[in-house]
Amino acid sequence: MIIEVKDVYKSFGDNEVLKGIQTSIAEKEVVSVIGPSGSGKSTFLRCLNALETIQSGDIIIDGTSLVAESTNINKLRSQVGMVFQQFNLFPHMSVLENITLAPTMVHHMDKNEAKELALDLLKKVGLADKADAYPDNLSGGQKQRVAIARSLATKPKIMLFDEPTSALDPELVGEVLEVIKDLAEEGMTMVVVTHEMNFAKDVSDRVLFFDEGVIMEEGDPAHIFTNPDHPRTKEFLSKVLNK
Amino acid sequence: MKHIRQKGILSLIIFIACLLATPVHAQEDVLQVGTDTNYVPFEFLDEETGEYVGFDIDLIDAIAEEVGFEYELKPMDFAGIVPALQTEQLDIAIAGISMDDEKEKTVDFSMPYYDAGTGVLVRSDDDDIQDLDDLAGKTVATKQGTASYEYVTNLDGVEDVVPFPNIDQAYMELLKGSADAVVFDSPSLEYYMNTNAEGKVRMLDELLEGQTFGIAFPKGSPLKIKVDEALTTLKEDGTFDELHEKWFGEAATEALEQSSSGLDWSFAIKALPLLLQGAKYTILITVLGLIFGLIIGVLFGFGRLAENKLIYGLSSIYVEVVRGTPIMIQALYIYFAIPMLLNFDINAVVAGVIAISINAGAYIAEIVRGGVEGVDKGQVEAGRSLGLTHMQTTYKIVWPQAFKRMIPPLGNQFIISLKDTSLLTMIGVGELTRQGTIIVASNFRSVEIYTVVGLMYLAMTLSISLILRQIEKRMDIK
Repeated sequence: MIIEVKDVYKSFGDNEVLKGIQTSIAEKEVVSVIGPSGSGKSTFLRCLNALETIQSGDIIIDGTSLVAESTNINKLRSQVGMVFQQFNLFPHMSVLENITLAPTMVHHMDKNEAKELALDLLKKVGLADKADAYPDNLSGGQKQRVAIARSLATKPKIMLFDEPTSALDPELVGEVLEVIKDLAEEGMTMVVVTHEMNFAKDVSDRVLFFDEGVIMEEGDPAHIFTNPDHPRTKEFLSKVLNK
Repeated sequence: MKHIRQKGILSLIIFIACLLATPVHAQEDVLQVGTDTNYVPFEFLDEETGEYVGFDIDLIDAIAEEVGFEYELKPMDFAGIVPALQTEQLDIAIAGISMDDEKEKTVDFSMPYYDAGTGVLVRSDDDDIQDLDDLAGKTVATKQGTASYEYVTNLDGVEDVVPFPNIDQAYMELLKGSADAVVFDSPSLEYYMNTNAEGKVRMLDELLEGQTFGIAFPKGSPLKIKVDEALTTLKEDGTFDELHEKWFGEAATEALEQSSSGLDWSFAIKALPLLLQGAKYTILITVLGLIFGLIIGVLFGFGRLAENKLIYGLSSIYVEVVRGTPIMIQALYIYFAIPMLLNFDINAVVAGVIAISINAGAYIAEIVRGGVEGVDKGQVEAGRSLGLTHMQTTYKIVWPQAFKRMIPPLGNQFIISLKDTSLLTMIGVGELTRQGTIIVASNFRSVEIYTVVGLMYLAMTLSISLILRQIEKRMDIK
């Protein structure tokens, strides 16, 4: 198991957001996280690369505990890529600089080598011609694809996606999902928080349904989407699928 | 080893402290003589030579020759003279200082050298006021901190007393009709009436109480006896009478040409060299003040962002105190109050730079804080999730974006600080505004001079705007 989540509790002040999360994710597994807003799914994802600190429990990434004091969190993070809803590209850097920043600063990669890597990744996400553009001049879909390339530049073992298409115009969603799908086919371990039910159904190996801070139900997509066990899952799916 | 290093640091601190505290009278044998910046005909600026001239100036020169001392003339605001004697920043002051019991508590006086009456000046076309009783219900303008002010506030029936820092402002108040009379030392009133008023004013025949002027010293100064002896000698050998005739005689006022009516821009052109000299100080103080202000601002801006409660608390106190008090009070505190408490002297320009630095620093700290806080939280998260350290994220991602956001408010602050230097007039820094007021005090050409002063400020602030716009443009290309 490349990710092990053991009885994790997380609260913001008095507001308990995660109430005893327990799951594990295998190498090359693609896991979709669905659930109503406020259910704790984004917080759960952010805990996986220690953007949020947990109150109790443990998270073990590739054998290393996020909670242990001896853990070098920066090193660990460079093995866990994160893609945000709002892309969070660095607006003062060109596309190329956005991608080469981490390899040169964290892995001390040679500049030319980093540039080659970046151009390869841009080709992979279909934006080879945008290397010298600045984020402000890109469409939302292009920004998100650059953000994915930027995360891949640290050669992570795991990729986390936090509602990667929620901020996009509908006609731009497809190009981003396409890139994520390609990654899945290459065997990248991925956790995707998403509202795209078709994507969750077609691409993921397993679906986690979050509700009120707990994993209410989990299983393979065919089962969850056609015949869920829990009435809350049913209710949620009927709402989002009949929209 | 450690001991030696500590001693080294200690002596460095002492060295810096000595530099800062270097007394104004660095050379022991050169006496510092304080005088007013504008009190015609006792002392005023000759705008063509840039030198101070007048009865007091000639008299102290004659006394210096008689006693045999060298001196340096220190023109300053009248209100600052007695404090400067108390702190011994001055050795002597000659500024038409009227001798009274109140002042004699804090300074020593020579024998009196001039008897002045207090006169009343009114507009020529105003027939209402014929004698002192007619002042009842009227508005009277005068110079603040003078015996005339004391006197007129105690006069029965006067409706309102408006004190001004300089007497020329009181004359303007009278001419434009906001005041009905100016009450002040008669020699000054006569001089103004005869030289610059173009027949628009007249003086009442009746004089109010008389007063005598004396030369002032710090309490217990040994100079008093020597100066008294010299005054006696000068009176006996006729030198004193010569000077008196030169500055107060018929010939004196007749020699001075009546100035023409209407605007006369030749006065502004004549004043240019002195104004440019003032502008140089304005620029010097602004540039140094902003350099130090930026350093202070960045440090305290980060202090305001710190998680450490103590650092945050101290930074907040600094910002709130400086933002919450007028810069003029801060300047007076730095120049007068702190040196008096800690017993050291400070150069007015240095005090001015410190005041601007501390003041600008507080505002810049807020600009820095706002700039950093304004950078989207997602930027930091993206940096950290790529594995960058906190330092790397701050330096590579937050700072460049924060800096760009900070440029417009910084530009504002630079312009405000530049204009704030005009308030340093209060502590006697010879910057642009002060040069302007001094020149107006001697030639009464307020419209012409202040127009030029205003245009000079505008030229400087526009330069700042242009430079910043260039920087912004260059950053936008990126």
